[in-house]
Amino acid sequence: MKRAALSRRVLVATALLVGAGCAAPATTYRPVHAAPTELTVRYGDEFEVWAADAPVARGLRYQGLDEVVRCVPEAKRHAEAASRSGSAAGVLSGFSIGLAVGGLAGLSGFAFEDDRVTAAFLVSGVVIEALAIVLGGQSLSQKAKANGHALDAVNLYNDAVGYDGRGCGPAVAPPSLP
Amino acid sequence: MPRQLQQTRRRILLSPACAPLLHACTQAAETAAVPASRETPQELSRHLLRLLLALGLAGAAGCGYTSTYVPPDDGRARVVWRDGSAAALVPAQSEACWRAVQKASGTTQPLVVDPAPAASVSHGGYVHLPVWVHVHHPHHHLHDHGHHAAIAHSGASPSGPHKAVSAGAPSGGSSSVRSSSTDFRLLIAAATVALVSAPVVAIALALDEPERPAEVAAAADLVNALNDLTRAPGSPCAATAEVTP
Repeated sequence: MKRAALSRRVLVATALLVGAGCAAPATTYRPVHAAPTELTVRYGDEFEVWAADAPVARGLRYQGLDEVVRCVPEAKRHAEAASRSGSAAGVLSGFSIGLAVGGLAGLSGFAFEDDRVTAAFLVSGVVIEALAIVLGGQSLSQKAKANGHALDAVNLYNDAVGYDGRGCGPAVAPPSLP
Repeated sequence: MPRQLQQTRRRILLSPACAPLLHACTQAAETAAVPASRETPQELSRHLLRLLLALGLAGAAGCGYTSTYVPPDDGRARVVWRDGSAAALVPAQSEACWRAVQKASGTTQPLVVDPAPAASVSHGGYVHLPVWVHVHHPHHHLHDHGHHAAIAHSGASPSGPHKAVSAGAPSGGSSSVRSSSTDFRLLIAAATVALVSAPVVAIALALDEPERPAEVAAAADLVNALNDLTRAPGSPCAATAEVTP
């Protein structure tokens, strides 16, 4: 009984230690003197853009960032590019993982006794895997673009209207239909 | 020089950022063009894996994004995108200010300011600090620019394995049946190893993040704390910084 209890404790302690070691790094500082219109960058599992102590956009898609920075044309352009790249990264990641898994079907070539057929299946699988790797690399590249554009958008907006408290004003609601 | 190799070289040269990969990519293309019959399964699978890795690197080539943002000289700190990750771009501050930043950001890690960072880059009056936060050794920087730099355009076509097939296939009947059979066995062994290993590489690339989370979090905390302190009345940072409203 004592041994079982000890084993449980060791298991729990190990799980806690592993969990603590795997905790994703995150920002801990909360700005208190930032202007209400100022955008600040924080980081949890991903990039986050905050204004007035509330998140306005987060990576990788950065939805809503272009609306917040809309009155600074260059910042808006970067925010839109960030959103596009983030979306592209998601699609590319999905295709890459799908192809990586699908390419394993090439191993089914071992079901055939003819070496040529087996080789054809395997090589087809390798070609698919090569494509998956290229798409995975492209996905990584698009993620970098998304984050880079988003940071540029934040900085350009803050330089223009964020730090001085002007901001872009409230979001313009679309005209209501009669 | 095989046509495939020439194409690979040309495509890679189109992207100057991909220059460091030129050797790896061309070497991989060269090895893919080598007739398979002279290789052991281990060597062949190693060449195939190298080709796949080169493809991944070529796919990620270009470091993704190069920011051209230059901050105004207004005394504020910023999180910027440099060398494939986020970094803190901060104006020079006094020792007292740095200590206050460390205290305010609440980090348990000792912040160590390198008075003359060897890798620092000036940006219009700013210093692009490596994230100089470290636990054990005061002069050891966490920041290691460039490793995650990833790159944009795909360089090589996935035709290498096809070529290996044709190279290994019996042609014209001049080679013995035993030799061609051995070629196929070699090809099958190499392709199996590559096929089992490649999904790990692909999925790792697809799920990976270009930034280094610990450094990004540290950089953001540093910037937010420093900007706050420069606006906090009576703080040592407010005394040394002139922040425009």
